[in-house]
Amino acid sequence: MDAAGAATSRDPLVGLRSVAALRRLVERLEALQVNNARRLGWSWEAIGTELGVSRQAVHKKYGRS
Amino acid sequence: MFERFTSEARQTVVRAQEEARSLQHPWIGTEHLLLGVLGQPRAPGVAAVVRLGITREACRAAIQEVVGPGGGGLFGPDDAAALQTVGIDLDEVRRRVEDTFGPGALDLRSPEPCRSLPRIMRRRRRRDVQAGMPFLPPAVARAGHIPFMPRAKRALERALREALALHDRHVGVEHVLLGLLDPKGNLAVEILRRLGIESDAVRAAVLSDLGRAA
Repeated sequence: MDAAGAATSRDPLVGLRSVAALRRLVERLEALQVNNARRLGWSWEAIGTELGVSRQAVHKKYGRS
Repeated sequence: MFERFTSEARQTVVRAQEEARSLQHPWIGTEHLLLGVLGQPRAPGVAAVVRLGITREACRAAIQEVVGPGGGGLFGPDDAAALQTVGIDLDEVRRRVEDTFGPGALDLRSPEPCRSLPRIMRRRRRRDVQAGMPFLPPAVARAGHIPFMPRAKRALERALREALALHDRHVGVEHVLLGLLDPKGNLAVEILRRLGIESDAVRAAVLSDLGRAA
C-alpha cells in the first residue's frame, strides 16, 4: 500500500493499527526528548512551552518517573 | 573488570553487543554472550562445544524462538508494518534516534528516569548549565553501549572466578564460556538445554578439551 493512500485507509484494521503505532512512536520520542532536555537542565516550564502543554502536564507525566 | 580479559575474550563481548544489535535486542544477555563465544569456534574450549553440535547458527535460531527478534523491544515487526502504511520507515526512525541517543534508545522498555542522576551529577549539571556549558552526564556520554543484563554481568564475573579457580592469569574465551554455565540458570543455559545439552555436560567437555579434570 502506498503511503498517501494508507493514512486514510478504508480498512479500519489497517488504519487503527497505524494510528496506534504512531501514538506509541510519538510517546517514545517525547520521553527521549524530555529526558534529554531535563538532563541538559531545561525547566519543566520551557519543555512544556515547546511541547505546547502546561508545565504541570509535563511534570506530572515525567517528573519522578 | 576487563583488565584481565584477553583480546579474544574482549572480542566475545564486542561480538555479543553486535549479536544483540542484529537481533534488535536492546540489552546484552547471556544469550548474546553465548553467541559471542561461539563466534570464535576454534578458541580453546569452544571447539569442544562445537563438537557437541552446538553452533552459533543453532543457538541463534533457538534464541529467536525463545525471545523473538526484537521481541523485548517496544516496537516489533507489526508496528513497522503498520507505520509503513502511513509512510513512516521505522528502521530509519530507529537509526536516527540511535544516532542521537545510542543503541536501543527507541526500543528500550524503560528509559532512565530524569531524576536518576545522582546528587553529585545534579550539582555538576547545575554548575555547567549556569556557566552556559553543555552538560553531558555519563549516561549520555556512554550512549554507544547497550546495557548488560544482570545475569550477563554475573556471567562475566563468574568468568573471572573460573580463571582464578583454574589458576589462569588471564580471562580467555574458555572462561567466558564456563562463566555462562551458571548453576543458578540463565538464558544461555536454557538455550543449550533446548539444543539437548545440559550445562554440566558442556562444562565437562570444555574442561576435558582444556586438558583439565571436570
